[in-house]
Amino acid sequence: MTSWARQPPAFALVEAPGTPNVPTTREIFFTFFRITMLAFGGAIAWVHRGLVVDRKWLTEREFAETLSLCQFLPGPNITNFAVVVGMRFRGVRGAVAALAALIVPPMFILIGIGVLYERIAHVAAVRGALNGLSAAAAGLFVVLLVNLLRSLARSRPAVNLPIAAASFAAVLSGVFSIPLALIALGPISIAVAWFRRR
Amino acid sequence: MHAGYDFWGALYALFTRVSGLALISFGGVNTVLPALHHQAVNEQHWMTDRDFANLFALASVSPGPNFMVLTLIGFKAAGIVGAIVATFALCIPTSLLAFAVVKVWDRFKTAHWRMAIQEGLVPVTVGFVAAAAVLLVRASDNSIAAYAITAAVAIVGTLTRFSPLWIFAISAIVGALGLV
Repeated sequence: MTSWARQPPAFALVEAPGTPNVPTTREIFFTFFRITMLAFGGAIAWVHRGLVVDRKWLTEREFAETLSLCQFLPGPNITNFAVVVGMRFRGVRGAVAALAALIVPPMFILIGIGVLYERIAHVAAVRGALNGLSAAAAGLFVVLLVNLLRSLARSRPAVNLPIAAASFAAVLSGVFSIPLALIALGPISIAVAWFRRR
Repeated sequence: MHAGYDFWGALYALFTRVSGLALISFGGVNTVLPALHHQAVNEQHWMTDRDFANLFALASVSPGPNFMVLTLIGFKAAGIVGAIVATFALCIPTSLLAFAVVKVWDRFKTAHWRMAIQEGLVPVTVGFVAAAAVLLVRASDNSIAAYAITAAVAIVGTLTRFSPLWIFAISAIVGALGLV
């Protein structure tokens, strides 16, 4: 999938390097707050910009390795990233600060939007605007899917595309729930990946 | 909230469904979106298909990561408490897992089985994202104009380097005029 994953480890994720760039808990909080407020269409790009380009808390290599861990774990990549980066610099306090900055402010904004939605979604003009926005958001999701399919087609498409097609058909038809599809197709796909890596 | 509405039952269902799905969301929340849609619309009847599409769109254009559509789903299911429960049910169990795994990550990050699992799960979960895309398009697009907007964003986003975001603004205006 990714070439750098096969390279030997260059640093330990849990140990902060001995550079003067170790941020305070407060700096961690405000950096992730800024990232979450700007995040639009793929938050990881904003994490990269915030942590690697602007703050220089992580090198490109460290960012890629951390992202590899976050993609291995279930859950949103960006919350995993916040926990790992917070932990690395300031332990549990850092992790809590990063995660809280990431989710609590947008949570309150979205609660406000939810309240408004309940009050005004029935107004004709609002309903119409939401129809337009929904159609556009669905289009943006298609873009994300096309990008995923493009990268899938680059790495062994003869194996990966049929597996993706099978899981797509299984879930969309309702024959398999997502947990069942993971249990049924996951081991097959992992076995294929295991044998071709040997 | 209608008569016979079970607030605690909704909170319990929210917490168990969301945290359970979060813990199997390899590749991010988008991969379990079909299951969230199924729970919210068909199983728990928290909202209509149209509501789901609207809330997804609102989360996309609001500050914060897109997975925070869960906050809006929680709000629709059980009000402000539901919004908070859904948000935390999504983030806390997976964060605790990240917290535990980061300590042992260096021991197995180059392990063969670890990379095989990660590589192997990708095509399966891309299939889930594809199913989510179909469900979202179905829920969002009920007119030719809506399909045209979806196609325009998809084409601009995949084939050009222009940001498709300005299409969002135009789409909202065109929609408000009653044309979508």
